[in-house]
Amino acid sequence: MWREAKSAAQGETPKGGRQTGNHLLVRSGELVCALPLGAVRRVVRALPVHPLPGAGPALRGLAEFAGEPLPVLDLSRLVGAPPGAQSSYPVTVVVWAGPVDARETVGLAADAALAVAEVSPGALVGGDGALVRGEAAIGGQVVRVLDLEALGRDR
Amino acid sequence: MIHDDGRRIHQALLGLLLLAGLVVSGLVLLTLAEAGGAASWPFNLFLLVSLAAGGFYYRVIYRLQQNLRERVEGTGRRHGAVERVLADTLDRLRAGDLVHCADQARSLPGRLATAFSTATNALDVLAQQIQSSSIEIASAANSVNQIASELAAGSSEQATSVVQITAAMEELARTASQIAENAATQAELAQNAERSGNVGLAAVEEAVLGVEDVKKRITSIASRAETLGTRSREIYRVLDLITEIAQETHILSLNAAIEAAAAGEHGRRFSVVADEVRRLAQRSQESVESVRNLLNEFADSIRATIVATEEGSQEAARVLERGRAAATAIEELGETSSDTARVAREISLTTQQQNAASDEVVLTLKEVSHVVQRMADSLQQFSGTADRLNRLGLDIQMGAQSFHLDSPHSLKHLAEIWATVVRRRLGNWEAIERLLEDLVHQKPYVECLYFFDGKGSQVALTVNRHVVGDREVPPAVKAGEGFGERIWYKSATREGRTILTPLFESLLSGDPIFTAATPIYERGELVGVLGLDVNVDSWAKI
Amino acid sequence: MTGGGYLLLRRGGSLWGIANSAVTDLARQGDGAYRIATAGDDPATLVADEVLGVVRELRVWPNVSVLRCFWPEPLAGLAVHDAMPVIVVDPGRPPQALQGRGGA
Repeated sequence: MWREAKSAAQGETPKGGRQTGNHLLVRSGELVCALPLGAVRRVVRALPVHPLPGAGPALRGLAEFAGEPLPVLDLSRLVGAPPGAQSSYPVTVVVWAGPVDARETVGLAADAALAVAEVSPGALVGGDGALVRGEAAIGGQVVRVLDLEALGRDR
Repeated sequence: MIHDDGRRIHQALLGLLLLAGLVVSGLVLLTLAEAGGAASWPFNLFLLVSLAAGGFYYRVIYRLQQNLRERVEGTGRRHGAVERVLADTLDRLRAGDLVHCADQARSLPGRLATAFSTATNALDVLAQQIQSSSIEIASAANSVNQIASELAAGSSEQATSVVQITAAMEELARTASQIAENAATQAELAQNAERSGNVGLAAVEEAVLGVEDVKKRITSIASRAETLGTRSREIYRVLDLITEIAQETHILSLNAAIEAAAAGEHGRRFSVVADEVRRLAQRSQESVESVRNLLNEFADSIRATIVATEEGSQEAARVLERGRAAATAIEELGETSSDTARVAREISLTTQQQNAASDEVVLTLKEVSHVVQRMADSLQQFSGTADRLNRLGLDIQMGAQSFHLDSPHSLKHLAEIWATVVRRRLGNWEAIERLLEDLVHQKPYVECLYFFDGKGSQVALTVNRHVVGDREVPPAVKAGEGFGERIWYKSATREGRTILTPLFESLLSGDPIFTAATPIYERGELVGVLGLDVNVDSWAKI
Repeated sequence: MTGGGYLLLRRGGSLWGIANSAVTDLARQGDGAYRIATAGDDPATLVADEVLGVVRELRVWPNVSVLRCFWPEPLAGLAVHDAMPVIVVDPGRPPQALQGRGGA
């Protein structure tokens, strides 16, 4: 995990070794997803969740973050990532999801937060037109770039 | 006659002597008278007395003597007749014919007949008693013989058994000696084993002590390893803490980068700080990884050491247990060896005692064997004595059978009765043969019954198959060849009465037999001899 | 901010809140559960495992569109009480979990 973060950071580090970027790279299962940095509110250690009765597998449950109720979604199920090794430090990425005018604070349960990286829109390929904007090569591996504004749309 | 002559001479001599005496006396008296001039009246008296004496002699003595002589001559004549009868009777008595003797004695004068009858009856009874006694003797002899034979057989068996027992005892003695030797060897081996066991026990105990010491050292090492393990686990916790801090720092750096991005241009310097923080966290994490790797190796070593010490401790415990078990076993073996040695010594001593006892038994058995053998020899002699007794009984029987008794056990009486029956069938040889066939089976002791006419021309002969079995009668015997020269024929014809032969060899069986034979007369002429043979083996059945 | 207070319930391991003004009756059943009757155009009877009490003030976040994409239950919003997330119930459309099914 750390080596991936390092290589990803080195691949995108401009001069002076300083990291800059517009996406947060997180690992979920076997996939690395890129979340728009502007939609990321905070990265925290995995929050305790309270499952909701009758909820689907993508909804882990409800948590509390900074005094606010936080629905927590399973990022690997959202993107269909194959299950990977158990994470030693799972995280919850608190993001703003949904349309800009009706954003909701949602938590995304991931296996690890890797690094901040630059993803140019032109480098994207693929995409399902919904949550997955496309895929890009970052640090020698394929990263799935997500569109959090589409989260919750058309489900 | 001579006696009468003698009596007359005697009387004459007596008269002459008396006359001579008177003459001499007269002469003497006359002489004396003449010489002495005495008176002649003594001479006259003498003459008177002489005349008186002479007259007395004639009337009394001479006449008396004449009467007596006549009486004596009459008595002598009567005595002569009695003497003849007596002689004949005594002759029959001599021949043992008590039956005819009794008949003859009836013609003797009263008291003599009575005395003879009494004597012949007494003799008859005695002879029969002797016969019975001889048979009892024979029976007793046979019983004695049988008993002696049984005893001899038993003694032989006993002697054989004694020999077998002696051999067994000698074998037992040899086995006991071997056992004693083995026991002594076993005792020595047990003692050696005991000594070896003590040495082994000391070695095992020393080894146990050594292993216990090793176990203690291993325990100490394990304790130190455990301490190291505890320390490493503490280090792991610190590393985990550092890792967590590094991860928190990493998250913090990411959040700082997020805030910096949100701050736009104003957050650039903050993003640099965040980047530095992120690298710091990364280096920390890398250091932690390095330390963790080293610590993993150290922990592996510690674990290996702990495992090794545990295994060593377990092995030491097992070795200790086995050592203690070995020590216990050696102790038990030592005790067993001691017991074995003690038992072996006892066995050796016991077998030696048994050996001595066996030797005594063997000696005793040998003496018993000798005694038994002597007893067997004595019994054989006893059996011989019984045979002689049997023979004596036979001799007595034959002696008794020499008497013709009015008894069914008298052979002579039987022969004469059968002769009487045969006489009635004279001239009919077939009838005689049938008669003999019937008669011979009436007496189980008669081997053969035959009638020989004496002229050598005809003989009727039959054998008792119950006595002779399936033996074939020789043709010569059937034909009566040589019968005229046989002892029974000659004795019977010579004596003219029933006789009993001594023992001689049978022409039929070759066994010793004796024969009762009686001559048969017809109008004073010999017409044949009836003989019955008795096998000595059957004489006791008479 | 919604006023009037809320009745806090626990059901199925989650905290639920319902406007206190909508509650007409509260009773305990024989099995230990609670029966809450609501008023309104469509009265309903809710079942709870535990009744925690009434809170006077409860900040409700009504915008739960994303949540409802993954949990299509009618609710008035979400809140936090005592660092615990609370599901605020629409009294007129109570969720199935509070209607006697899917208890603790």
